[in-house]
Amino acid sequence: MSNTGTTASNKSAAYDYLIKLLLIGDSGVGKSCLLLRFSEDSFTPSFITTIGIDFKIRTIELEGKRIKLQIWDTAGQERFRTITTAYYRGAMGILLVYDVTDEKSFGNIRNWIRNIEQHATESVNKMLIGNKCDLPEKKVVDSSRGKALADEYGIKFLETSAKNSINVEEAFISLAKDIKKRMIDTPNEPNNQTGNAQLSDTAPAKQKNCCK
Amino acid sequence: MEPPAVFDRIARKNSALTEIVVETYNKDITGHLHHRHSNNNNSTTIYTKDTQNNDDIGSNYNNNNHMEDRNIDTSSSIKTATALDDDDEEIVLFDSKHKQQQQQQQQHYVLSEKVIIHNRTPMIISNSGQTPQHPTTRPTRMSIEFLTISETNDEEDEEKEREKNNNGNDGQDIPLDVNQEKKVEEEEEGLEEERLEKEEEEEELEQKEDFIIQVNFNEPHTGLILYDNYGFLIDQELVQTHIIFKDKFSLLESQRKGLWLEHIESSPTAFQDLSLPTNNNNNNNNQNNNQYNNNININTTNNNNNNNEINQTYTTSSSNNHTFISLLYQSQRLKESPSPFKHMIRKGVPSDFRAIVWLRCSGGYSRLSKYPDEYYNILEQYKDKTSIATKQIAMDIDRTFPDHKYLNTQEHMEKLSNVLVAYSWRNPKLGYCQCMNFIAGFLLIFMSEHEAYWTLVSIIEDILPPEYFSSTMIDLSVDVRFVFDELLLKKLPRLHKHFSKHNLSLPLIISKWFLCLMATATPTETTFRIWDVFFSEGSKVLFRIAIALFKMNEEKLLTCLDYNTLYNLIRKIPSHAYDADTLIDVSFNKLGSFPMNKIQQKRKESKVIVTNEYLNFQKLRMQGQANNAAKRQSQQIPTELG
Repeated sequence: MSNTGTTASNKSAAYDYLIKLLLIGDSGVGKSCLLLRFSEDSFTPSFITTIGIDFKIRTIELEGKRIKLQIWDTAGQERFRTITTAYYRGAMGILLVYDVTDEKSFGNIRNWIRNIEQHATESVNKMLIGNKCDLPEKKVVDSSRGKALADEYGIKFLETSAKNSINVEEAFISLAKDIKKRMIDTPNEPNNQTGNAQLSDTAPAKQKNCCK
Repeated sequence: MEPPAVFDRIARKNSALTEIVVETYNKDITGHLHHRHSNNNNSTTIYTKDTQNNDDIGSNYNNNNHMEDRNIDTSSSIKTATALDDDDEEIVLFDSKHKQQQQQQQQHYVLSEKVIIHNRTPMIISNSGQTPQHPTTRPTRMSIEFLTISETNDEEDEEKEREKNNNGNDGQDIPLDVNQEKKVEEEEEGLEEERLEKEEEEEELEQKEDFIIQVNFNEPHTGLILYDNYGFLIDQELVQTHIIFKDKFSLLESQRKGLWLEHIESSPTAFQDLSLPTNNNNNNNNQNNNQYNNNININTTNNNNNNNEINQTYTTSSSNNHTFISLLYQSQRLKESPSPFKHMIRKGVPSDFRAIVWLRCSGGYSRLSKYPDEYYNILEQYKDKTSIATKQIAMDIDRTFPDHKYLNTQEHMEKLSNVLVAYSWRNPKLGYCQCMNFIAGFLLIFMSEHEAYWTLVSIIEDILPPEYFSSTMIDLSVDVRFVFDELLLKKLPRLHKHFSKHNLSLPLIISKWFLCLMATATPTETTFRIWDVFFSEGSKVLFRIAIALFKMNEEKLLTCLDYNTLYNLIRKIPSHAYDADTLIDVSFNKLGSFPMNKIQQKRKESKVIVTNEYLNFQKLRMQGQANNAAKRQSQQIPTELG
C-alpha cells in the first residue's frame, strides 16, 4: 500500500479546487501564528522562527465546493525575500500581514506590496491584515490607517488576533471566496491565465497496492 | 478550568485524539493521569487517581480498569493534575528529574486503543544541563503493534539487511491494517502473559538485542510528550520511532565512547590529528593535547598561558586563510586513505568529545587561541548598543527552542543571545541571518559561549562559502539551485526527472536544510552526526547528506504522483532520518565521488548567474522604492492638512 496515497486520501480527502495562498509581512508580525490558528485552530505564544518557506493545508467548503487551501508561510527577514519571491508567482491570493503594535511593520507594507507588484501575477487577490488586535493598550496603528491603506490599493482589510481567534477564519475564507469568484466562477477573464486553480474531481493520489 | 499546559499541547498537536491516558508506576509521580479531550464541545476534563499504593502492576493493565478510573473526578484529584502544571515534567515519562534513580522502572502507556509496554533504565542528564551523559543503558524491549520490528541477533545479518535497505527500500512503509485497532483490543488480554514471558527472556536477550527498524511515515499519534536525549520535544508523528531508536542511541553512544577513550589512551597525540596538519604546530599541539587528554572539558582561561606560543604558530596559517578544512582540500588529503580519526568521526563522535572535536576541526580553536579576548571585548564594547541585527536576534531568541526542555530558560537564552549579538557586531555587514539562532543554539548544547562563538565564526567564514548567510544569500542560491541540481541529476537521474516532471521547486525546500546545517530538520542525534562530519570534511557534506536522504527514499518518492504528496514526503524525509548510521554510510559509501574541484567549478560558474539575478532584483526594488517615495510624498500633503 502506498503510504503517501493514504496521506492524501485520509487527511485532505477529495477536493474540487486547489487554491494557493501566501502569507507575507515583517518578521514577528504573527504569520505563522495566523496560519496555525487557521489550519489547526490553536495558538502558541512562542512559535519557532520560520526559515525559508513552509506550507499548511486546510480544506474548506464554499458554496458546495470543496476547496483545498494550500497556504504558504514565508520567512519575514528581509534577506529571505530573494528566496521567497520565487513563490509569489504561483500564489492566487496573498495576505499582507502587519502587527498593529509595531509601526514599522505597517510602514513596510508598501514595500511588500511593491514586491508583490514585481513578482506576483498581476491579478493576484490581496488582503491587508492587522494582526495582534488583542492588544489594544499597545496598539499604535489605528484601524482607520489600515483601512485607508487598503483602500488606496483597493484591497480588503481586517484586523485579526491569532491569539484570541478574532477574524482569522473570516480573513482566509473571504480571500478564498474572492479567488474562487475570480478564477472559478469567471475563469475566462484575460487576467486569469496564469496560476489556474487546479481542477480535480477526486483526491490527487489514490491508494495503490505496491508489493515489494 | 485551565487544563495542564502539557495536555493542552498534546491536544493541540493532535486534534484527532479524544482521550489521553497516561499511567506510570514511578513512585515519584503521584497517581496516574487521565485526560479527556473532547472535540465536540472543546471541553477538557482531567481525571486522576493515586496509584502510589498499588503494587500489582499487572492488574491495572486492563482497559476495563481505566473505564472505571474515568469516573473518578473529584476536586482534589483535579488539583493534583493542575499542580503538575507547574512542572509538567512530572508527567513526562522519561523525565530527567527522576533519572538519578538507577533502578529499573516499569511504565505502561495506555493510549485509548493502543498499548505500549516499555522497560528502561533512565538516562542521566548532568546538573549543568549542558552535556547529556549516557550511562550504559540496557536495550529496550517493546511491543508495539503498529510498527513492524524485525529483530536480529546477528550483526552480519544486520549488515546484509542494511545493504538491502540501501537500495531505496529504507523506510519502507508497513501497511496499517484497517482492523488493526480491533485486533489490538483483542490481543490485549494475551499481552499480559506475553509480557511476563518476555521479561523472563529479557536478561538473556538484552546483550544481543538490536533492531532493524523500518520507519513508518504515517505513525498514529500517541499523545505522549517525549523529549530526546538532548531535551528536544519529539514531534507527535515520531514518538514511536523515537522510542525505538532512543535506546539504540544510548547503546551506540557508550560503545563509541569506549572506542574513543581507547584510541586516545593508545595515542598520546590523538587530538593533534584534529588540528592544523602543518608540521610546525606539533610542539604546541602536544602541550595542549596533554591538557585535553587529562581534562576533556575545555577551560579557555586555563589555555591562556599557551596563547603566546600558539599565536605565533597560527599567524602564518591564518594569514593565508588556511583552515584545517581548506588545507585538506588544497592538499587533496581527502583522496588519501582515511585517517583513523576521520573514520572514527564518520562513525560518530561521542557527546563528551563533541566540543573539542568540533572546535578543533572547524578551525574555531585556532581562532579562539589567537584572539582569546575578542568575544568578551565585543560583548563589553557593544553592551548597550542596538542594531537591526540585534533587534531581530531579540525577536528570535525565544522563538528558537520554544518547546525545548531546558534551553528556553533565561540563562540559556542569554547565552544564545550573547553569541549571536557578538557575531553580528564582529561582522556587521552580514549581521544576523535567521537560522544562525539554530546553529548557535545547537553548538551551545555542547560548548561554552566562547567556544560556540568561534565555531560559528568558522562555520560562516571558513567552512561555508562567504555569502550563505549574508544579505544577498547568493552562495546559498548557488548551492541549492545549481550545484545540488547538477549532483542530483548525476547521482539520481530518475528522481531528478521525476521532480522536474512535477515542477517541484526543490531549492526552496532544501535551502532550509542547508542554512540550518540540517539542525531542526533531522532528529537531533542525526544532526549531530552530520555536524561531526561537516566539521571534519567541509561544506560538501551537506550535498552528500541531502542526496543520500533522497536516495534512501527514492522508490517511495517515485511513487508520489502529484506535487502535494511529493512535497509532503520530502518535508517528512529528514525528520524521519533516525538511522544516522545508515544515512552516513549511504552518504559516504554509496554515492560515489563528489570531486570538490567540480563542485567549486560549478559554484564559480553559477555565481555569475545568481549575482546578475540579484543585481536585477535590487534594481527593480530601487526603482519601485523611488516611485513609491514620490507617490507617498504627493499623498502625504492631504493627510497632513486633514
